[in-house]
Amino acid sequence: MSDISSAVAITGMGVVSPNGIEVDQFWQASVAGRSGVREIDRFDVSKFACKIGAQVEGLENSIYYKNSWKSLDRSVVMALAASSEALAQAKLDLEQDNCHHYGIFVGTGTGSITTHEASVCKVVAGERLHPLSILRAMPNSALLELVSHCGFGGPSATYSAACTSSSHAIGEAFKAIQADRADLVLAGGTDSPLSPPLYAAWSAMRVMSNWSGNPKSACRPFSKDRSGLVLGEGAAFVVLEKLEHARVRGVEPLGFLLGYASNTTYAHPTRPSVEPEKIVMQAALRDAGVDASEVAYIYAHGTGTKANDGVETQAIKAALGEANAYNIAVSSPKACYGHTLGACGALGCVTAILALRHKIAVPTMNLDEPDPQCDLNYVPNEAQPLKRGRYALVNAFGFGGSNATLVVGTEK
Amino acid sequence: MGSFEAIHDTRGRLYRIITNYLESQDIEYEESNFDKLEDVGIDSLGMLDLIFIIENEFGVQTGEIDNEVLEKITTFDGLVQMIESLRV
Repeated sequence: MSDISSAVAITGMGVVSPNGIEVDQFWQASVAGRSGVREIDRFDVSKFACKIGAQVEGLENSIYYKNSWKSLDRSVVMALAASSEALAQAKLDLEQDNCHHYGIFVGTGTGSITTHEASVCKVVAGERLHPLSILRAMPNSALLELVSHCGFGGPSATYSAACTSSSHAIGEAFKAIQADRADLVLAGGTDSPLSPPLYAAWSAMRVMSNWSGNPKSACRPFSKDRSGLVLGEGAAFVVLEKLEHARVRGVEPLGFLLGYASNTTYAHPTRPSVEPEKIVMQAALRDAGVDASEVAYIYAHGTGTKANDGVETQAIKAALGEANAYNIAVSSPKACYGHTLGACGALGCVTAILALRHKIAVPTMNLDEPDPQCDLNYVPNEAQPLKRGRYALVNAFGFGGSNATLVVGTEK
Repeated sequence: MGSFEAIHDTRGRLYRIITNYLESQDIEYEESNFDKLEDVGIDSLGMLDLIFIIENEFGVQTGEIDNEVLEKITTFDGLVQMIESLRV
Protein backbone atom coordinates (compact mmCIF):
# COMPACT_ATOMS: atom_id res chain seq x y z
CA MET A 1 0.00 0.00 0.00
CA SER A 2 1.24 3.48 -0.75
CA ASP A 3 2.61 5.56 2.12
CA ILE A 4 1.48 9.10 2.78
CA SER A 5 4.32 10.70 0.86
CA SER A 6 3.36 8.91 -2.36
CA ALA A 7 -0.42 8.72 -1.87
CA VAL A 8 -2.37 10.32 -4.72
CA ALA A 9 -5.70 11.77 -3.68
CA ILE A 10 -8.71 12.49 -5.86
CA THR A 11 -10.06 15.85 -4.74
CA GLY A 12 -12.42 16.81 -7.53
CA MET A 13 -14.62 15.09 -10.10
CA GLY A 14 -16.70 16.34 -13.01
CA VAL A 15 -18.96 14.59 -15.50
CA VAL A 16 -20.85 15.28 -18.69
CA SER A 17 -22.73 12.16 -19.76
CA PRO A 18 -25.83 11.19 -21.74
CA ASN A 19 -27.63 10.24 -18.52
CA GLY A 20 -26.63 13.26 -16.48
CA ILE A 21 -24.58 16.43 -16.53
CA GLU A 22 -22.65 17.00 -13.30
CA VAL A 23 -21.63 14.28 -10.89
CA ASP A 24 -24.76 14.20 -8.70
CA GLN A 25 -27.15 13.78 -11.62
CA PHE A 26 -24.87 11.22 -13.24
CA TRP A 27 -24.64 9.19 -10.05
CA GLN A 28 -28.37 9.27 -9.33
CA ALA A 29 -29.15 8.22 -12.91
CA SER A 30 -26.54 5.46 -12.83
CA VAL A 31 -27.85 4.05 -9.54
CA ALA A 32 -31.45 4.18 -10.81
CA GLY A 33 -30.48 2.68 -14.16
CA ARG A 34 -31.88 5.65 -16.09
CA SER A 35 -30.87 5.49 -19.72
CA GLY A 36 -29.63 8.27 -21.96
CA VAL A 37 -29.82 6.03 -25.04
CA ARG A 38 -32.32 7.07 -27.71
CA GLU A 39 -32.76 7.37 -31.46
CA ILE A 40 -30.26 9.84 -32.82
CA ASP A 41 -31.85 13.10 -33.92
CA ARG A 42 -28.73 15.16 -34.53
CA PHE A 43 -28.30 13.82 -38.07
CA ASP A 44 -30.05 11.55 -40.55
CA VAL A 45 -29.64 7.92 -39.51
CA SER A 46 -32.21 6.45 -41.89
CA LYS A 47 -29.55 4.71 -43.99
CA PHE A 48 -27.91 2.97 -41.05
CA ALA A 49 -28.87 -0.41 -39.60
CA CYS A 50 -28.32 0.99 -36.10
CA LYS A 51 -30.14 4.27 -35.51
CA ILE A 52 -29.48 4.83 -31.84
CA GLY A 53 -26.88 6.48 -29.71
CA ALA A 54 -26.35 8.18 -26.38
CA GLN A 55 -26.34 11.93 -26.92
CA VAL A 56 -25.62 14.51 -24.24
CA GLU A 57 -28.69 16.72 -23.89
CA GLY A 58 -28.95 20.08 -22.19
CA LEU A 59 -25.28 21.01 -22.22
CA GLU A 60 -26.26 24.54 -23.25
CA ASN A 61 -28.14 24.86 -19.96
CA SER A 62 -25.17 23.83 -17.85
CA ILE A 63 -23.82 26.53 -15.60
CA TYR A 64 -20.41 25.80 -17.10
CA TYR A 65 -21.53 26.53 -20.65
CA LYS A 66 -20.56 29.82 -22.20
CA ASN A 67 -21.69 31.27 -25.52
CA SER A 68 -18.10 31.71 -26.59
CA TRP A 69 -17.68 27.94 -26.59
CA LYS A 70 -20.20 27.45 -29.38
CA SER A 71 -17.47 27.55 -32.01
CA LEU A 72 -15.58 24.70 -30.34
CA ASP A 73 -15.94 20.98 -30.97
CA ARG A 74 -18.49 19.25 -28.73
CA SER A 75 -15.73 17.11 -27.27
CA VAL A 76 -13.93 20.28 -26.18
CA VAL A 77 -17.05 21.88 -24.72
CA MET A 78 -17.76 18.72 -22.73
CA ALA A 79 -14.15 18.61 -21.51
CA LEU A 80 -14.39 22.22 -20.35
CA ALA A 81 -17.68 21.62 -18.56
CA ALA A 82 -16.54 18.44 -16.80
CA SER A 83 -13.20 20.01 -15.87
CA SER A 84 -14.84 23.14 -14.49
CA GLU A 85 -16.94 21.01 -12.16
CA ALA A 86 -13.91 18.99 -11.04
CA LEU A 87 -11.78 22.10 -10.42
CA ALA A 88 -14.59 23.74 -8.46
CA GLN A 89 -15.01 20.68 -6.24
CA ALA A 90 -11.26 20.60 -5.65
CA LYS A 91 -11.52 24.23 -4.53
CA LEU A 92 -8.77 25.35 -6.85
CA ASP A 93 -8.32 29.10 -7.12
CA LEU A 94 -6.96 29.53 -10.61
CA GLU A 95 -6.15 33.18 -9.88
CA GLN A 96 -4.30 32.61 -6.64
CA ASP A 97 -2.80 29.11 -6.64
CA ASN A 98 0.74 28.58 -7.85
CA CYS A 99 -0.04 26.55 -10.95
CA HIS A 100 3.49 26.14 -12.33
CA HIS A 101 3.69 22.58 -11.00
CA TYR A 102 0.14 21.60 -12.03
CA GLY A 103 -0.46 19.51 -15.13
CA ILE A 104 -3.25 18.47 -17.50
CA PHE A 105 -3.55 15.03 -19.10
CA VAL A 106 -6.40 14.41 -21.55
CA GLY A 107 -7.54 11.18 -23.16
CA THR A 108 -9.58 11.14 -26.34
CA GLY A 109 -10.20 8.50 -28.96
CA THR A 110 -11.43 10.70 -31.78
CA GLY A 111 -10.45 14.22 -30.65
CA SER A 112 -12.16 17.05 -32.49
CA ILE A 113 -12.91 14.90 -35.51
CA THR A 114 -16.40 16.38 -35.91
CA THR A 115 -14.89 19.82 -36.44
CA HIS A 116 -12.38 18.40 -38.90
CA GLU A 117 -15.19 16.68 -40.81
CA ALA A 118 -17.06 20.00 -41.01
CA SER A 119 -13.91 21.65 -42.39
CA VAL A 120 -13.59 18.95 -45.05
CA CYS A 121 -17.20 19.54 -46.09
CA LYS A 122 -16.53 23.29 -46.40
CA VAL A 123 -13.44 22.74 -48.54
CA VAL A 124 -15.35 20.34 -50.81
CA ALA A 125 -18.10 22.96 -51.11
CA GLY A 126 -15.53 25.64 -51.99
CA GLU A 127 -16.04 27.62 -48.78
CA ARG A 128 -13.32 29.36 -46.80
CA LEU A 129 -12.06 27.90 -43.56
CA HIS A 130 -11.87 29.84 -40.34
CA PRO A 131 -8.27 30.87 -39.56
CA LEU A 132 -8.36 28.99 -36.27
CA SER A 133 -9.57 25.75 -37.87
CA ILE A 134 -6.33 23.94 -37.07
CA LEU A 135 -6.50 24.84 -33.38
CA ARG A 136 -10.14 23.78 -33.22
CA ALA A 137 -9.70 20.48 -35.06
CA MET A 138 -6.36 19.10 -33.95
CA PRO A 139 -6.44 15.99 -31.73
CA ASN A 140 -5.23 17.94 -28.69
CA SER A 141 -7.72 20.80 -29.05
CA ALA A 142 -9.36 19.94 -25.72
CA LEU A 143 -5.99 20.16 -23.99
CA LEU A 144 -5.31 23.51 -25.68
CA GLU A 145 -8.55 24.99 -24.34
CA LEU A 146 -8.04 23.49 -20.86
CA VAL A 147 -4.51 24.88 -20.64
CA SER A 148 -5.81 28.28 -21.71
CA HIS A 149 -8.66 28.06 -19.17
CA CYS A 150 -6.59 26.80 -16.23
CA GLY A 151 -3.21 28.41 -16.78
CA PHE A 152 -1.37 25.32 -15.56
CA GLY A 153 2.35 25.33 -16.37
CA GLY A 154 3.30 21.76 -15.45
CA PRO A 155 3.37 18.71 -17.70
CA SER A 156 0.60 18.24 -20.22
CA ALA A 157 -0.23 15.58 -22.79
CA THR A 158 -3.01 14.10 -24.88
CA TYR A 159 -3.38 10.33 -24.97
CA SER A 160 -5.20 8.70 -27.85
CA ALA A 161 -5.55 4.94 -27.51
CA ALA A 162 -9.17 4.32 -28.50
CA CYS A 163 -11.27 3.18 -25.53
CA THR A 164 -8.38 3.23 -23.05
CA SER A 165 -7.43 6.87 -23.73
CA SER A 166 -8.69 8.41 -20.51
CA SER A 167 -7.51 5.48 -18.39
CA HIS A 168 -4.02 6.18 -19.72
CA ALA A 169 -4.44 9.92 -19.09
CA ILE A 170 -5.45 9.30 -15.48
CA GLY A 171 -2.90 6.53 -14.95
CA GLU A 172 -0.03 8.52 -16.42
CA ALA A 173 -1.05 11.55 -14.36
CA PHE A 174 -0.89 9.30 -11.29
CA LYS A 175 2.63 8.25 -12.27
CA ALA A 176 3.68 11.85 -12.94
CA ILE A 177 2.58 12.85 -9.43
CA GLN A 178 4.31 9.85 -7.87
CA ALA A 179 7.50 10.76 -9.75
CA ASP A 180 7.24 14.33 -8.40
CA ARG A 181 6.85 15.76 -11.89
CA ALA A 182 3.66 17.49 -10.76
CA ASP A 183 1.92 18.37 -7.50
CA LEU A 184 -1.53 18.24 -9.04
CA VAL A 185 -2.94 17.08 -12.37
CA LEU A 186 -6.33 17.57 -13.99
CA ALA A 187 -6.87 14.29 -15.85
CA GLY A 188 -9.69 12.66 -17.73
CA GLY A 189 -11.15 12.13 -21.12
CA THR A 190 -13.66 13.31 -23.66
CA ASP A 191 -15.15 12.01 -26.88
CA SER A 192 -18.00 12.98 -29.17
CA PRO A 193 -18.13 10.35 -31.92
CA LEU A 194 -21.72 11.03 -33.00
CA SER A 195 -21.15 12.50 -36.46
CA PRO A 196 -22.39 11.05 -39.76
CA PRO A 197 -18.99 9.94 -41.17
CA LEU A 198 -17.82 8.41 -37.91
CA TYR A 199 -21.17 6.77 -37.27
CA ALA A 200 -21.06 5.33 -40.81
CA ALA A 201 -17.58 3.95 -40.13
CA TRP A 202 -18.68 2.25 -36.91
CA SER A 203 -21.75 0.94 -38.67
CA ALA A 204 -19.60 -0.52 -41.45
CA MET A 205 -17.54 -2.37 -38.85
CA ARG A 206 -20.69 -4.21 -37.70
CA VAL A 207 -19.97 -3.84 -34.00
CA MET A 208 -23.01 -1.72 -33.14
CA SER A 209 -26.17 -3.10 -31.58
CA ASN A 210 -28.81 -4.32 -34.03
CA TRP A 211 -31.57 -4.10 -31.40
CA SER A 212 -34.83 -3.09 -33.06
CA GLY A 213 -36.96 -2.53 -29.96
CA ASN A 214 -36.86 0.27 -27.39
CA PRO A 215 -33.52 2.09 -27.80
CA LYS A 216 -33.03 2.09 -24.03
CA SER A 217 -32.73 -1.71 -24.19
CA ALA A 218 -30.24 -1.78 -27.06
CA CYS A 219 -27.01 -2.03 -25.07
CA ARG A 220 -27.12 -5.38 -23.23
CA PRO A 221 -23.77 -6.11 -21.55
CA PHE A 222 -23.21 -9.74 -20.51
CA SER A 223 -26.65 -10.68 -21.83
CA LYS A 224 -27.25 -13.80 -23.91
CA ASP A 225 -28.90 -11.73 -26.63
CA ARG A 226 -26.39 -8.88 -26.71
CA SER A 227 -25.59 -7.81 -30.26
CA GLY A 228 -23.17 -4.93 -30.01
CA LEU A 229 -22.29 -1.57 -28.54
CA VAL A 230 -24.15 1.72 -28.57
CA LEU A 231 -22.03 4.76 -29.34
CA GLY A 232 -22.17 7.52 -26.77
CA GLU A 233 -20.53 10.86 -26.08
CA GLY A 234 -19.33 12.28 -22.82
CA ALA A 235 -16.48 13.55 -20.69
CA ALA A 236 -15.19 13.03 -17.19
CA PHE A 237 -12.29 14.61 -15.35
CA VAL A 238 -10.71 14.18 -11.94
CA VAL A 239 -8.30 16.33 -9.98
CA LEU A 240 -5.40 14.23 -8.72
CA GLU A 241 -2.89 15.56 -6.24
CA LYS A 242 -0.41 14.48 -3.63
CA LEU A 243 -2.22 13.84 -0.38
CA GLU A 244 0.14 16.19 1.42
CA HIS A 245 -0.58 18.88 -1.14
CA ALA A 246 -4.33 18.46 -0.63
CA ARG A 247 -3.88 18.70 3.13
CA VAL A 248 -1.88 21.91 2.83
CA ARG A 249 -4.69 23.33 0.69
CA GLY A 250 -7.23 22.17 3.26
CA VAL A 251 -9.09 19.91 0.85
CA GLU A 252 -10.52 16.54 1.89
CA PRO A 253 -9.86 13.64 -0.52
CA LEU A 254 -12.87 12.01 -2.16
CA GLY A 255 -10.80 8.90 -2.66
CA PHE A 256 -7.42 7.68 -3.82
CA LEU A 257 -5.91 6.45 -7.04
CA LEU A 258 -3.81 3.53 -5.92
CA GLY A 259 -2.67 1.62 -8.96
CA TYR A 260 -2.43 1.65 -12.72
CA ALA A 261 -1.15 -0.75 -15.34
CA SER A 262 -1.29 -1.00 -19.11
CA ASN A 263 -0.30 -3.54 -21.71
CA THR A 264 -1.10 -4.58 -25.26
CA THR A 265 -2.94 -7.41 -26.93
CA TYR A 266 -0.68 -7.76 -29.93
CA ALA A 267 -2.26 -10.83 -31.53
CA HIS A 268 -5.20 -9.02 -33.10
CA PRO A 269 -6.18 -5.33 -33.42
CA THR A 270 -9.78 -5.76 -32.30
CA ARG A 271 -10.25 -9.26 -30.87
CA PRO A 272 -9.81 -9.26 -27.07
CA SER A 273 -7.78 -11.94 -25.35
CA VAL A 274 -8.00 -13.33 -21.81
CA GLU A 275 -4.30 -13.51 -20.97
CA PRO A 276 -3.31 -9.86 -21.52
CA GLU A 277 -6.48 -8.65 -19.77
CA LYS A 278 -5.68 -10.94 -16.82
CA ILE A 279 -2.12 -9.66 -16.74
CA VAL A 280 -3.08 -5.98 -16.79
CA MET A 281 -5.55 -6.41 -13.89
CA GLN A 282 -2.99 -8.31 -11.82
CA ALA A 283 -0.31 -5.73 -12.58
CA ALA A 284 -2.60 -2.89 -11.48
CA LEU A 285 -3.39 -4.69 -8.22
CA ARG A 286 0.34 -5.21 -7.61
CA ASP A 287 1.00 -1.55 -8.35
CA ALA A 288 -1.62 -0.64 -5.77
CA GLY A 289 -0.46 -3.19 -3.22
CA VAL A 290 -4.05 -4.45 -3.03
CA ASP A 291 -4.99 -8.11 -2.62
CA ALA A 292 -7.75 -9.50 -4.83
CA SER A 293 -9.73 -10.43 -1.71
CA GLU A 294 -10.04 -6.70 -0.88
CA VAL A 295 -11.74 -5.77 -4.16
CA ALA A 296 -15.38 -4.77 -3.75
CA TYR A 297 -16.31 -3.62 -7.22
CA ILE A 298 -15.18 -3.82 -10.83
CA TYR A 299 -16.29 -1.23 -13.36
CA ALA A 300 -16.19 -3.57 -16.34
CA HIS A 301 -15.35 -2.54 -19.86
CA GLY A 302 -18.62 -4.40 -20.62
CA THR A 303 -19.37 -2.98 -24.05
CA GLY A 304 -22.17 -5.38 -24.90
CA THR A 305 -20.30 -6.80 -27.88
CA LYS A 306 -20.16 -10.54 -28.45
CA ALA A 307 -16.38 -10.47 -28.29
CA ASN A 308 -15.75 -8.39 -25.18
CA ASP A 309 -18.02 -9.56 -22.42
CA GLY A 310 -17.17 -13.26 -22.32
CA VAL A 311 -13.43 -12.64 -22.56
CA GLU A 312 -13.54 -9.99 -19.84
CA THR A 313 -15.46 -12.40 -17.58
CA GLN A 314 -12.81 -15.10 -18.05
CA ALA A 315 -10.04 -12.56 -17.50
CA ILE A 316 -11.58 -11.34 -14.22
CA LYS A 317 -11.77 -14.92 -12.94
CA ALA A 318 -8.21 -15.63 -14.01
CA ALA A 319 -6.84 -12.39 -12.57
CA LEU A 320 -8.56 -12.38 -9.19
CA GLY A 321 -9.25 -16.09 -8.71
CA GLU A 322 -12.70 -17.63 -9.11
CA ALA A 323 -13.46 -17.53 -5.38
CA ASN A 324 -12.94 -13.77 -5.33
CA ALA A 325 -14.50 -13.14 -8.72
CA TYR A 326 -17.85 -14.65 -7.74
CA ASN A 327 -17.99 -12.41 -4.66
CA ILE A 328 -17.23 -9.13 -6.41
CA ALA A 329 -19.89 -6.83 -7.84
CA VAL A 330 -19.07 -6.34 -11.53
CA SER A 331 -21.15 -3.95 -13.60
CA SER A 332 -21.32 -2.11 -16.87
CA PRO A 333 -23.30 1.14 -16.76
CA LYS A 334 -22.57 1.51 -20.48
CA ALA A 335 -26.06 0.02 -20.90
CA CYS A 336 -27.32 3.45 -19.80
CA TYR A 337 -24.92 5.85 -21.53
CA GLY A 338 -23.33 3.87 -24.31
CA HIS A 339 -19.69 3.49 -25.14
CA THR A 340 -18.09 6.89 -24.81
CA LEU A 341 -14.80 5.60 -26.25
CA GLY A 342 -11.94 7.73 -24.94
CA ALA A 343 -14.02 9.01 -22.01
CA CYS A 344 -15.14 5.63 -20.65
CA GLY A 345 -12.19 5.02 -18.33
CA ALA A 346 -12.64 8.40 -16.69
CA LEU A 347 -16.39 7.84 -16.29
CA GLY A 348 -15.46 4.50 -14.75
CA CYS A 349 -13.03 6.13 -12.34
CA VAL A 350 -15.71 8.55 -11.13
CA THR A 351 -18.28 5.75 -10.88
CA ALA A 352 -15.92 3.50 -8.91
CA ILE A 353 -15.06 6.22 -6.39
CA LEU A 354 -18.76 7.02 -5.88
CA ALA A 355 -19.59 3.31 -5.57
CA LEU A 356 -17.05 2.93 -2.77
CA ARG A 357 -18.08 6.15 -1.03
CA HIS A 358 -21.79 5.22 -1.11
CA LYS A 359 -21.14 1.45 -0.78
CA ILE A 360 -23.46 0.89 -3.75
CA ALA A 361 -22.76 -0.98 -6.98
CA VAL A 362 -24.53 0.60 -9.94
CA PRO A 363 -26.56 -1.86 -12.02
CA THR A 364 -26.01 -3.41 -15.42
CA MET A 365 -29.33 -2.70 -17.09
CA ASN A 366 -31.01 -4.87 -19.74
CA LEU A 367 -29.55 -8.03 -18.23
CA ASP A 368 -32.54 -10.36 -18.21
CA GLU A 369 -30.89 -13.59 -19.32
CA PRO A 370 -27.11 -13.72 -18.89
CA ASP A 371 -24.86 -15.39 -21.41
CA PRO A 372 -23.93 -18.78 -19.86
CA GLN A 373 -20.28 -17.76 -20.36
CA CYS A 374 -20.93 -14.66 -18.26
CA ASP A 375 -21.67 -16.03 -14.81
CA LEU A 376 -20.40 -13.38 -12.38
CA ASN A 377 -22.54 -11.01 -10.31
CA TYR A 378 -23.12 -8.22 -12.84
CA VAL A 379 -25.58 -6.39 -10.57
CA PRO A 380 -28.47 -7.10 -12.96
CA ASN A 381 -31.04 -4.34 -13.40
CA GLU A 382 -30.95 -3.03 -9.83
CA ALA A 383 -28.25 -1.42 -7.70
CA GLN A 384 -26.80 -3.54 -4.92
CA PRO A 385 -25.10 -2.66 -1.64
CA LEU A 386 -21.39 -3.38 -1.58
CA LYS A 387 -20.82 -5.92 1.14
CA ARG A 388 -17.09 -6.54 1.03
CA GLY A 389 -13.82 -4.92 0.22
CA ARG A 390 -12.52 -1.39 0.10
CA TYR A 391 -11.17 -1.10 -3.41
CA ALA A 392 -12.37 -1.08 -7.01
CA LEU A 393 -10.94 -1.83 -10.43
CA VAL A 394 -11.73 0.14 -13.57
CA ASN A 395 -11.18 -1.82 -16.78
CA ALA A 396 -10.79 -0.43 -20.27
CA PHE A 397 -9.81 -2.39 -23.36
CA GLY A 398 -9.44 -0.71 -26.73
CA PHE A 399 -9.07 -1.30 -30.44
CA GLY A 400 -5.42 -1.51 -31.29
CA GLY A 401 -4.97 -3.90 -28.40
CA SER A 402 -4.56 -1.28 -25.68
CA ASN A 403 -5.52 -2.48 -22.20
CA ALA A 404 -5.55 -0.44 -19.00
CA THR A 405 -6.74 -0.98 -15.44
CA LEU A 406 -6.98 1.57 -12.65
CA VAL A 407 -7.28 0.71 -8.95
CA VAL A 408 -9.10 3.17 -6.72
CA GLY A 409 -10.08 3.21 -3.07
CA THR A 410 -11.51 5.42 -0.38
CA GLU A 411 -8.58 4.55 1.86
CA LYS A 412 -4.86 4.75 1.18
CA MET B 1 -11.53 56.07 -49.42
CA GLY B 2 -15.32 56.16 -49.35
CA SER B 3 -17.57 59.09 -48.54
CA PHE B 4 -17.91 60.51 -45.04
CA GLU B 5 -21.24 58.69 -44.69
CA ALA B 6 -19.73 55.39 -45.86
CA ILE B 7 -16.84 55.66 -43.42
CA HIS B 8 -19.22 56.60 -40.63
CA ASP B 9 -21.27 53.51 -41.44
CA THR B 10 -18.14 51.34 -41.50
CA ARG B 11 -17.02 52.67 -38.11
CA GLY B 12 -20.43 51.95 -36.60
CA ARG B 13 -20.60 48.41 -37.96
CA LEU B 14 -16.99 47.69 -36.97
CA TYR B 15 -17.61 49.03 -33.46
CA ARG B 16 -20.54 46.63 -33.07
CA ILE B 17 -18.50 43.71 -34.43
CA ILE B 18 -15.64 44.36 -32.01
CA THR B 19 -17.84 44.90 -28.96
CA ASN B 20 -19.87 41.78 -29.78
CA TYR B 21 -16.63 39.86 -30.22
CA LEU B 22 -15.21 41.07 -26.90
CA GLU B 23 -18.44 40.21 -25.10
CA SER B 24 -18.55 36.74 -26.67
CA GLN B 25 -15.02 36.15 -25.38
CA ASP B 26 -15.87 37.47 -21.90
CA ILE B 27 -13.24 40.22 -22.33
CA GLU B 28 -13.85 43.33 -20.28
CA TYR B 29 -13.04 46.50 -22.18
CA GLU B 30 -13.04 50.27 -22.02
CA GLU B 31 -15.50 51.45 -24.67
CA SER B 32 -13.35 54.40 -25.59
CA ASN B 33 -10.07 52.49 -25.80
CA PHE B 34 -9.87 50.79 -29.16
CA ASP B 35 -6.71 52.66 -30.15
CA LYS B 36 -4.61 49.60 -29.47
CA LEU B 37 -6.59 46.41 -29.71
CA GLU B 38 -3.87 44.26 -28.09
CA ASP B 39 -4.28 46.34 -24.96
CA VAL B 40 -8.01 45.70 -25.00
CA GLY B 41 -7.32 41.98 -24.93
CA ILE B 42 -7.34 40.97 -28.60
CA ASP B 43 -4.12 39.04 -29.19
CA SER B 44 -2.70 37.84 -32.52
CA LEU B 45 -5.02 34.80 -32.68
CA GLY B 46 -7.94 37.02 -31.69
CA MET B 47 -7.07 39.37 -34.56
CA LEU B 48 -7.16 36.44 -36.99
CA ASP B 49 -10.59 35.52 -35.65
CA LEU B 50 -11.78 39.12 -35.79
CA ILE B 51 -10.53 39.74 -39.33
CA PHE B 52 -12.34 36.59 -40.48
CA ILE B 53 -15.57 38.00 -39.05
CA ILE B 54 -14.89 41.39 -40.66
CA GLU B 55 -14.26 39.75 -44.04
CA ASN B 56 -17.59 37.97 -43.88
CA GLU B 57 -19.48 40.98 -42.55
CA PHE B 58 -18.14 43.49 -45.10
CA GLY B 59 -17.69 41.10 -48.02
CA VAL B 60 -13.97 41.89 -48.34
CA GLN B 61 -10.94 39.63 -48.69
CA THR B 62 -7.58 40.20 -46.98
CA GLY B 63 -5.91 37.34 -48.85
CA GLU B 64 -3.77 39.63 -50.98
CA ILE B 65 -2.58 41.78 -48.09
CA ASP B 66 0.95 40.84 -47.11
CA ASN B 67 1.23 39.21 -43.67
CA GLU B 68 3.66 41.87 -42.44
CA VAL B 69 1.23 44.62 -43.42
CA LEU B 70 -1.73 42.78 -41.89
CA GLU B 71 0.10 42.24 -38.60
CA LYS B 72 0.61 45.99 -38.26
CA ILE B 73 -3.13 46.63 -38.38
CA THR B 74 -3.77 46.64 -34.65
CA THR B 75 -6.03 49.65 -34.12
CA PHE B 76 -9.66 50.45 -34.72
CA ASP B 77 -8.77 53.12 -37.27
CA GLY B 78 -6.36 50.72 -38.95
CA LEU B 79 -9.18 48.21 -39.43
CA VAL B 80 -11.46 50.92 -40.84
CA GLN B 81 -8.79 51.94 -43.34
CA MET B 82 -8.21 48.29 -44.29
CA ILE B 83 -11.91 47.73 -44.94
CA GLU B 84 -12.21 50.91 -47.00
CA SER B 85 -9.10 50.11 -49.06
CA LEU B 86 -10.39 46.62 -49.86
CA ARG B 87 -13.76 47.97 -50.90
CA VAL B 88 -12.28 50.22 -53.59
